[in-house]
Amino acid sequence: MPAINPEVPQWIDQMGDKEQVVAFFAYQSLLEQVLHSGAGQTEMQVTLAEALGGALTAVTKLNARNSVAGNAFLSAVASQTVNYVHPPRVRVSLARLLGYMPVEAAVPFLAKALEDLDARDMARCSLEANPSEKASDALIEALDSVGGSFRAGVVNSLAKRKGARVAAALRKAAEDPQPEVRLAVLEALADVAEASHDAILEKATRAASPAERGTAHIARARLAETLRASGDRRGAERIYKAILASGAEEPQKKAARLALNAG
Amino acid sequence: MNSAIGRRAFLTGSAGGVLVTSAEVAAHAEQAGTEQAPTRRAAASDRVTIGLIGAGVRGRDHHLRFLSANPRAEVVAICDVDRGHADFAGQIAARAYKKKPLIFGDFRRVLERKDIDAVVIATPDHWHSIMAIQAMEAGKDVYCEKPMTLFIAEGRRMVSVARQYGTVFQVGSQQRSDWRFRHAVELVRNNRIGRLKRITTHLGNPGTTSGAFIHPGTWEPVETPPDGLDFDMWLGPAPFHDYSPNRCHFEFRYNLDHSGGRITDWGAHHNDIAQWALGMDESGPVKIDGKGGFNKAGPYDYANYLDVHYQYANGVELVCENERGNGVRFEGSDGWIFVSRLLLEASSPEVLTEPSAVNTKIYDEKNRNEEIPGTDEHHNNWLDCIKTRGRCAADIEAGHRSACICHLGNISMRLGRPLEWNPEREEFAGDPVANVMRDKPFRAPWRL
Repeated sequence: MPAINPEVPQWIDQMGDKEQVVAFFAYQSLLEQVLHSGAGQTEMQVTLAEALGGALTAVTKLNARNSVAGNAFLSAVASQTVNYVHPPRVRVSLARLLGYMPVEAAVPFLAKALEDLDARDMARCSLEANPSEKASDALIEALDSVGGSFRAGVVNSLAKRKGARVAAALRKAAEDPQPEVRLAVLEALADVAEASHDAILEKATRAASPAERGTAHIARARLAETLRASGDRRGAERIYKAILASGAEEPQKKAARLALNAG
Repeated sequence: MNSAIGRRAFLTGSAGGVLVTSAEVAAHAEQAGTEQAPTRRAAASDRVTIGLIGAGVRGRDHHLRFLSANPRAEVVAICDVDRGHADFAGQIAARAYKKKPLIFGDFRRVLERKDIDAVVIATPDHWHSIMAIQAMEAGKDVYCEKPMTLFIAEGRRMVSVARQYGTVFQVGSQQRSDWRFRHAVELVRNNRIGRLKRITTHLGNPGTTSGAFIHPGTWEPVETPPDGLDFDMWLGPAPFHDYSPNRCHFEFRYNLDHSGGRITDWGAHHNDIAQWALGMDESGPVKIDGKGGFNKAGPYDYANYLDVHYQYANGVELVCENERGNGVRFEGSDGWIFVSRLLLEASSPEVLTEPSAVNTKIYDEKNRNEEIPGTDEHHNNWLDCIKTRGRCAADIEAGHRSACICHLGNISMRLGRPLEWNPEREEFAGDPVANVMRDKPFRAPWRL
């Protein structure tokens, strides 16, 4: 394996320096390493990804401080507490740097970081940018394991990715109990060139929530355009005609008229 | 021999503050009321009702100033995440219209209004795509400040939505409405300097002939955001940062999470003119080789020095640099033309003055506006197109492609290597990292 710049570990530490200029310099130095290693140097990228990813997910060993003498419950809670080696600011920066490394080696670290409350949104963004199938897998898996509004971000990331498994995961999430997740799913489904998604969107146009109904109408127009762009003109036409007959707002009806008139 | 015509000083935006005195409001309102001196406003039913999103220096001192003096438009709502900005602009609008505009902190409340026909987006760049797309989907026509995008992928989505909804979309590349640039582009496209060989876009300080624009910034301590500023909403889809004054408001231009630095600021103007002259409004270069000087001591992370060479498929070279003044220089086999906001000159007077068989008509001498941004031609072009449903002088596809030129330069400079670009597919050849940099994931919950 190629050797990475020996200053990398020092720069990782310095990203947490209380002097802003030191932390900035360290981040920029690492970014330079990451970006310059990208041209036909896959092995170097893998080595660097492992160094950065290792630091991102590094935890200290559980020790005596994690047990509370005489209190089994607190000891149990304490024993599950993760003590990260690096502070949140450093972990967020590391997760971000891995987003510039489109190699599969970055994925396991980013997937692990989805459990890190401080770094998880940046890890999610970096998984979104990673072209590996395993990045899709990690995001799909996260849909079942992460909570609340963060799941909406995961849906947004899956919307940028392709494949049958991604589409299936998005369809499953359409029934999510969280309203903001359902809204994200409606828009995500519209970006997949799959005509059957219109049934889900049409159902949502009859939802109790005005926000959900409005988003569903917009998503239907978006799905029609996705289908048209993919070559499914008949599928697009069907949806546009349905929009005209629906309770959609005027802008979506206007878009439908424009598309149908254009043929 | 040089031939120079039309030397006029251009107005620069004044700095704005949150603490506003009545004298300041009166001064701005007076300025708004006297520019273009409308003798009579159009009937209310004929006026385009506008929501101004982003009421900082650009939104207030350029858009509100001109629109409030334009009889064909009425700014009925003002939105800014900084309450001080919104209120200040609101007071100016109230003086101009003799009634208070609606004031909002969240742009989505503007888009909900069915009594608003169109929006002007004058926010930091990281917000442009989300706001523009939601506005188009809400049926609004859009005037969006340049650079239209922060990264390449969002531009294609914006174009698609605009075409789907039949949106009249003007990008704030107002040099397309300035006679000097229009004339220069027409001359170049009609081969008045022979076969075009090279275009150089100079992004240094206006009015100078040398010296790079360098603004490294100074480190400021992290602070609690001031009262009235919804900093989380200011950040929106951008990565989270603690608040410090030199990230916000005008200084956003020098932070790559919010803008692209000099190359997307002045570059969005001058590279747009280059693209226009090349007839490349729907395409772009095929090779990019950028050298940039980045200040690793921060706090700003944009390229202080830049020297980017672009190659087009037709053999023309575009050079973008910031050390030799400000303007656009066209070099052809038979001469040259230089154009800026201050002047238009050429290798010989005949290039500018002799009539020729015109194939491409862009410049209309009878309708020659005298200074920029001291005229309202670009807004008027937008308002004309809203009425006719035509395409604007700086249409969305051209705005996307011009912004791409700047982003391509930034990507090459940051990677430190030459790149091959496919303008049709909008992707790089053989460089996965460069392709990753075409897109930028949004902070949750924001999405396109």
